[in-house]
Amino acid sequence: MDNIYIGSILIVVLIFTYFLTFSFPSVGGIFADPALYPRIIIFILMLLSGVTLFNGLKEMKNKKHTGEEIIEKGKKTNLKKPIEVLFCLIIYFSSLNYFNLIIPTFIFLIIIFMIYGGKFRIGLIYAIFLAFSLYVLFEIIFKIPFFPKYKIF
Amino acid sequence: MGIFTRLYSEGLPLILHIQMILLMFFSVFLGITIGALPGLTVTMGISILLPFTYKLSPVAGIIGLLGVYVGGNYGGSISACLINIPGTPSAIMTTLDGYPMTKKGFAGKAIFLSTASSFLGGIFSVVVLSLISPVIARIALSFTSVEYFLIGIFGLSAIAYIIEGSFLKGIISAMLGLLIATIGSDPMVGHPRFTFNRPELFTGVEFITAMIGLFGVAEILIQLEKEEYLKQVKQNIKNIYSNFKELKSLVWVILRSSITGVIIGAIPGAGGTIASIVSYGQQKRFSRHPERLGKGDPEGIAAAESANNACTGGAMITMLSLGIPGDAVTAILIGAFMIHGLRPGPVLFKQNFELVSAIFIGMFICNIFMCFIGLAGAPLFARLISLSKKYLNPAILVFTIIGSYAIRNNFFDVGTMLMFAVIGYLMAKVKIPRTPLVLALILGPIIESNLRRSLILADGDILLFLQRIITRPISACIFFLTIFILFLPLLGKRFNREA
Repeated sequence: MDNIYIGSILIVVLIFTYFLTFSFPSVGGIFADPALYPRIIIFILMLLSGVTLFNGLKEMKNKKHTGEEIIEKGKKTNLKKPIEVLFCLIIYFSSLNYFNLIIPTFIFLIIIFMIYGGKFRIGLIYAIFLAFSLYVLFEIIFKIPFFPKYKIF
Repeated sequence: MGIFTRLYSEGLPLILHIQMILLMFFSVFLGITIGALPGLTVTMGISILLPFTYKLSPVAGIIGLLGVYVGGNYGGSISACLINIPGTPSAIMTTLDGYPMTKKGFAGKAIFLSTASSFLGGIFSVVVLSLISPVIARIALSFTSVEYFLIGIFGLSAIAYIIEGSFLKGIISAMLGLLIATIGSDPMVGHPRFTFNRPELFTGVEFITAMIGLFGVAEILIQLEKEEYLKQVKQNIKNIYSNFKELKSLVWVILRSSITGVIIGAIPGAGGTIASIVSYGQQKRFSRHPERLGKGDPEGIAAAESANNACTGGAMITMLSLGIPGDAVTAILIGAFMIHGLRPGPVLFKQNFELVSAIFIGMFICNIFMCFIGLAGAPLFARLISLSKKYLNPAILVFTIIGSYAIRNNFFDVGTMLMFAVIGYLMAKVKIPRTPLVLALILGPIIESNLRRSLILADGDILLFLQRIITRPISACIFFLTIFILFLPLLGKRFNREA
């Protein structure tokens, strides 16, 4: 099924990308045209995606339901935790835009620590220590400028 | 007195005093730390430290930055080996064998091999290039867009050796990388492509943020899904120095890769990343057990690291003798020369020979310090990985976010990094290799701009362009070498079948 997903998603994305190339202006000769090189790559990718889709359809047709497949289906995959972490990352990076480094980092570290199965008390000490160290390293030593809209520290 | 002797004697009075020795030690240590931290790159570290050299003497300022350069180039391999995140782009190939070795419980061995190979590659580049630099620089200076285009293709041909699993998926990954590399201003006419009117995309996708997302965050998400973080990897850190025997068997690998690194380093724009890619591909070809590469093979680490560090000498000599930067770091180093009223180039050899000599000796000493700090700190670095992931991963995630931001002080780059993290995670789910995409991202702009420039110079005549490839001696060599490398796996399979 993977090949069918890859092939079909790629084809949709490539068609969209191909139409975007028409917004590029034609300048000078054919080799100065900004759209030429991306179109060549899109064309090759289209062919490769077509082959992948074809392979996927062929595999599906010939597929025999074996015991191995049932075991494969039964394998435990935990999608919850990656999504939680990704969500936290997005919130954390958005909050850096509004607050300074230290507070969002402190909260983020405690939450991630607990997602990883850590205890709250240890997480608290860990987050205080690390958030302060990172603040010293990035804001004081490396002088990386953050431009928070609401500066607390 | 011969020029070689003069190169290693005239600068001695400038170097051999306690302040300079301490400065070199500290700068190498700082470089290793910067290189090892995911998201902090050597380029960024040097550009941040550059203003601090104003107050120092020209020798102290330039050698201090060189220490960071040498240390940082090596430091990238530490995070590559321990947490599968190349601290610097040039350590990308080290992850392929360094991390699997660590996963097997031999982090100490991985760090020892990367340190020793980096040291030998670095020393080799300083010594050999001081002898042959005028010749290499002259060759590199005669390169035209045809040769640069072929160098890009040559680098891309290494993909044939590093793809695991489906070859078709590997090619798709590389082509996606080439397509993503077209985002930004057109290299010839400057028109924005696929930028959606976002000025942050005009200079293209920030490569380092893409790499942090694809390899850093995506790897953590995959581990979370498989609950791999619950497993504790015990490290064999007791017998680091007993690996000297293994090092002996890698002498030829290191020598060959160092030569590759030196030559590629001398080519302006090529840099350590391409050197390690080409050298790794070369190793896969020459290895007696190519199937072991990518699974924690010492040869893979030695090939990638020695080539990557040999590049520092190559890039430096081209920069010193011709004033052409070999990579982004040497481009910033040219700035360091200029703030002290100096201009790298042939005139520097005539007017400031003492400084040139001091730089050579300084690089030599920095490499020795790098080896010392790397080996002495190996148990400490190896212990880092045996830390529970619940302590390490939250900190890594913060580093990836802040590191992505700090490159251009831009939140857009953090968004890009997260987008690539999702892409990397999905690619891993459907078993599309991520490395070809990253390689194509680096090589894409080189290939496109030089291909189009060559075709325009040939008046759009493709036959004339092909004729130029064949008739120019250097381009013909690179072309046939690329063909040879691309078809070698097929020939190898045929010979094996016949045998």
